[in-house]
This record gives sequence, structure tokens and C-alpha cells, in this order.
Amino acid sequence: MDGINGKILKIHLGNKSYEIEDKDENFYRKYIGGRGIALYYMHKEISDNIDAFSPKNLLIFAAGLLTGVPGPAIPRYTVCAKSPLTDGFGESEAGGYWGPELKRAGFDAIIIKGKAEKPLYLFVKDGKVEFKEAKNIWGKETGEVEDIIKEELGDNKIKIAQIGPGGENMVRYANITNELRHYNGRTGLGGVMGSKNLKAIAVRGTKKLKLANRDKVVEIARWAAKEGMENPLADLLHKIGTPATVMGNNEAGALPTRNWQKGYYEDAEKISGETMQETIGQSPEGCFACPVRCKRKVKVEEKDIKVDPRYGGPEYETIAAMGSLLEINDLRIIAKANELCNRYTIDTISTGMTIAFAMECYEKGLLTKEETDGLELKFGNSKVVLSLIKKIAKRKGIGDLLAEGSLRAAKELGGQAKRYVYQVKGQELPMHDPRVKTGVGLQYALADYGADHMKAAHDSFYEKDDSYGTLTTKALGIYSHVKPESTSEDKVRLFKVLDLYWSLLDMLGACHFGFVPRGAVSIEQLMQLISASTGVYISLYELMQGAERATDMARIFNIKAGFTSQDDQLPEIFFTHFNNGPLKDKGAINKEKFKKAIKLRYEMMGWNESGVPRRSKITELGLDWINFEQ
Amino acid sequence: MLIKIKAYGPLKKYILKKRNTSSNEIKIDIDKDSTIEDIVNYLEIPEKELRFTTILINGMRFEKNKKILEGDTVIFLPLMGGG
Repeated sequence: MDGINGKILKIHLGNKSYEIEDKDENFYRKYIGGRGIALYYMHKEISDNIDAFSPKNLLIFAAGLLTGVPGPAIPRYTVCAKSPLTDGFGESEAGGYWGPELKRAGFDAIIIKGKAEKPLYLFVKDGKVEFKEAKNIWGKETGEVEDIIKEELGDNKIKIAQIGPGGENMVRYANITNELRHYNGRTGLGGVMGSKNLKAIAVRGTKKLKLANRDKVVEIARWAAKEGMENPLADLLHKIGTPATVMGNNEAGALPTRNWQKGYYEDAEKISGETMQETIGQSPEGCFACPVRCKRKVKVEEKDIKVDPRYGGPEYETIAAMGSLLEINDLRIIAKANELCNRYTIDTISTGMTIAFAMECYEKGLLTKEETDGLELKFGNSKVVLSLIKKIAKRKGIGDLLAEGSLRAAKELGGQAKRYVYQVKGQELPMHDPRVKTGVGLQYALADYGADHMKAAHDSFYEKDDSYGTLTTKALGIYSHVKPESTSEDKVRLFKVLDLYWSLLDMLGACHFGFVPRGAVSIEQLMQLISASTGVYISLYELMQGAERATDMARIFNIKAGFTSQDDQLPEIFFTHFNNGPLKDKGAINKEKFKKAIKLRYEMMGWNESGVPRRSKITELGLDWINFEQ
Repeated sequence: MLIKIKAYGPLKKYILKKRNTSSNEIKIDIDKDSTIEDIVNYLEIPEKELRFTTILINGMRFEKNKKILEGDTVIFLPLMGGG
């Protein structure tokens, strides 16, 4: 099969050795890529109930089936491990250039095992591996590390995935940065990397990926660059990017504000995507072979505050998590907070959410000034945010508690503190209020790696029969609209399919922003890209079943780690009405209906009433080899 | 009766076509009993663009035939999600 290498690299950090495992076509048809490959090894090689920071955990970098193919919007790859934030299956995707470079370097995935005796980094080039000492870069921020490694290896074209001090200090929501601007942002995978004394993985490949029909790939890439960019979704992503969402959510009364106490932020315009682009915004940047170029870049050069554009710019999630959620209306502070998180590699969503939690505890008297190192943790106090980020990354003072994430911090504080935590499976909620889009709520509750906003398209794409989503995903068996606020059976069916399709895009290395319903490239073109790359016919049926297989593997991994249906829940606040804005005294999700929807989804998935995959489903998916007693 | 129209992202251009303004917000005088559909027709938003559009009255979603009341704000948002 073309388009892949058929080679998995296994690294043993303990004795600095490596081996290469060959895999055949059937392996890729069955597990596809990304989380599919990762879960295969996690089930084979991780024993139950290990600590996420134990050397026994695996850290897996897995490209998608299409990653590195120069078609439109397929730059992504996945990192997986047992998550130190959720204590279950951890996963996060990143775009950029690292994944494509890994494929060119001759591998489809890297499995990291054990722990290095002393800090080191890996250099993977054209099928070979070097273990390099990291003494001189351990403790340093990401920008400096990027420069030192490139100079040391004498090659500007290498791509580097690395951790900053936040990862080294095992912040439970530390992330991994790629080329300083692209993040495997969630579930604390940077902390796992730190626990293994692994500072970075530099990759370089000089060979072109072999494709069955390069001309066809180029033809689709050209279509995407021209006709595709005329699509309003692509156009807006390019011009304003994800920050365009700030005003949309605020107008709908659903912009998370003051730790979810409010859904409408009076100062939203000051932190909007449009304002950012007009004031501190620079030309957007992009990922490998993608015409959309949606990544923000910002620059601030003032006497009292400077923001370095090499760390990119805040996405919508960051603007809301560091802005409205904390009632900070200064884009320069938000941009600086983003830059600091990126220097230290800590997730901006969980960081903002944990700070918001601490602010509410301070407001309610559950945290005192003595406990916060003298910082006044008041909403709107922008000065303390930047100090807190540094403290979290370095686990200094109050930062040590907050580095544990909001749920663990609340347990430590005790009393009423838990009331102000908004999480699923231990992972802090992203910045989308499920009261105005219940499908997102279902995905929050059911996501195998904790609350996440990229587990399916959002409900508004299906609000009418002639909405773009409804019109473009008929090949998935979606023929009619479902209202965003509905928790009907139709909603459950829609999101079961969207969940699997979204996972599939992840497993292919495809960016959700490139493909329907969130982007311009059609499902038909996606299928053409797969056959043009691999040279074999793989059906949509096979692919969707592959996505379901991975979903059940993740589900089983979590059940073995101790999760139950009790963990498939939304925070209570979403079963109550909004407190301000256009939806004041409206919007509560009906709790009973929501519970029913979760149960129906279990049934549709072939899971029993407790959410455990039935033996028949496990057999159907060819997962009998997993050691799993029901 | 007077109402307000707001439009974001690519939809702003339909407001700009109607008024010489740099704002994404205008006030217009419309007939009583006007509906969302009437506003869409007034702004001349093509059907194709509507596939990518969420329309709100005072922050809430309604059907196209929903009547607008004096002082309402009709908001045109591009489809968004994720990020």
C-alpha cells in the first residue's frame, strides 16, 4: 500500500535502544492511523491501573493514514497516552509540519516506552534514530530550545515536537508544541513526555512519500486552493480564523463568562476576532499543504508589554478562556497569556479554566490571600493572570495546586469548591456552552478523553434542511435537520454518526476545517484522496467501521481504567437557565431527556445499559484479542 | 417600526451594500408584521449564502416566518463551530 511507510518505530528510553516493526496493509485498513494505531499498542502493552506518570505508560506519536500527502488540509497527527488529567485514555491532535515530516522520515508512528535516566531528545532522520543529551536544554523555554536544537543538528528544515517547563514539571494539562505554533493541546500529554525525561523529538526526512496517483492528489489540492477557498467557511477561517466565534457566541448569549456564571460578556467586542485582526493581528499562517491558512499570528510591542509573534496568536478557545471567562477585556493581556502558555507548554483552555475556578473560589472565600501568595484573584484582574501562568508552569506556590487541574484542586480545597469546577472525566470544558448546542453537550459527556469541542461538528451546521452540513454529509446517511437545542432521538442519531466521522478525520490526519461540513472538501474528494494516495480501494463503510473500532477500543481502555456510565455526565450548571444576556432565565437542558439521550446512544453503539460494549459488538469489530472481562 | 440589524463576518457586506457605513449594525424602518424572510429579502442575501448563516432575533433562533417586533435586533451570523 502506498501513502504509508508500513513501519512503526519503538523507542526504549531506558536503555536508549530502538526497534522497527513492520506492519501490513490489513493493519492500516483495520486501525487506519492516529488513535487507531495508538490504541492498538496501548491495549497490547499498557497494563491496567498504572499511573500516567509511571515509566510503564506509553507515549505514542501516530500519523494519520493520509498525513503528509500533499492534498488539502491533511497535516495532522495524534499523540496518545494514558492521561494524567483524566486517568483514562488521552489523545490530542496537532497540525503544522511535524506529522508530514515523520512520514517522510520513514515512519508512521513512534511508540515511546520507559523513562530516560537523564533528560534527552530524539533525532529521527531517514529511518535512523539518535539519542541526544538534553542537559543544556532542560528547563529552557520552547523558543530557545527550538533554536538550540536546530543549531546543534545544523539543519533548519528539521521539525521539532517538544515540551517547555510546564511539561518537565508534569503539569497535569501540559501540552506538546510543534514548531512553536501547533499544539497537541489537551489531556496533559506534555506532562507524560516530561515524566519520561524526553524533552523533544526532532524529525527530518529527505524522501518523498510514495503515492499511487500523485496527479490526482495535486488536482484535488488545486481545486481546494481555488474553488475551495471561495467557500465562506474557508474564507472566514482565513481572514479572522476561529476568533470569529467570539461575537457569534456572545450574540447568542453563550460566551462563557466569569467562570460560566454568565453567558453574555458586555466587553466582548474588545476581545473579538475582528478587533484582534485590526489591532495586533498579522498575516495568518498555515499548515503543511493547506490553502486555508487559519492560524493567527499577533505582535505587541509596547513599553510595558511585548508579545512575540513566533508563538502564533490566540485561537477562539484561548481568547474566551483567558478573556471573557476571567472578565479580562484587554487583548494584549490575552495574547501575552497565550504566548506564556506556549513558551511553557501548558494548555490554554485548562489553564484559563483552572484560573477561573481559583478566582471563583477566591470570590466565595474558599481561597484566601494567604493561600494565593498574596495575589488578589479577582475576576478582571489581568495582572495576576500572567503571574499565575508562570507559577503553574513552575509549580511554585499556589501554582503547584493549580497545576493539578481544577478537579484535583477542588478536592484538595474541599467544601463547596467542587461546585465551581466545570469538567468531564477530569478535563476542563472548552468554551462552547452546550445549552445552545446539545450535540456538543452529548459529545462533552461521552468523549473518551474528557470534555472536548472537536469531537463532532457543532449543531448549527444542521439547523435547517438547507444548512451546509445537512446538504454536504448525505453520504453519512444524514438527510434532514435537527434543531440545535433539541435532545431528541434524531439528535442522538445525528451525533452518533458525526462522532464516528470526526474520529475518522482524526485517524486520517485530516483537519476538520478542511473537510465538510466544517470545510470545503467533499466526502467524495476525501475518498478519492485515499485511493490516490494508497492505490487500494478502501470503502467508506470500512473507514467508518474503523472509526467505531477505535471508539470502542478507547471505551474499553477507560472501563478497564475504572470509568463507568457515571462519568458520562455534564456539569449541573447546564441543566439550569442562563443568568444574563439574551437567554436570561432560559436555555436549561432537560436533565431527564439528556440522560435518555445518553442511554440511547449506548444502545445505538451496541453498548449495554452501563455503557459497556457488548461481546457481540466486540466480536463484530474484530477486537476479541483485547483482554476484557465484562 | 424601527428595528436593528447586525451582521458578522462575510455577511457584513450585505449591510454595506445598503448603507454607506463602516459599522456592522444599522437601524431600519420596516412595516409591521414583517418577518425574518422580509429582512433577508431586504438585504438581498442569496440563498446559497443562507446555507452558511444562522439568524437570530435578540439572540434566539426562530423560523423564517417569525414576525419581528418594534425594537428587535435581527442578527446574521456565519456558521461557526470548533476552534
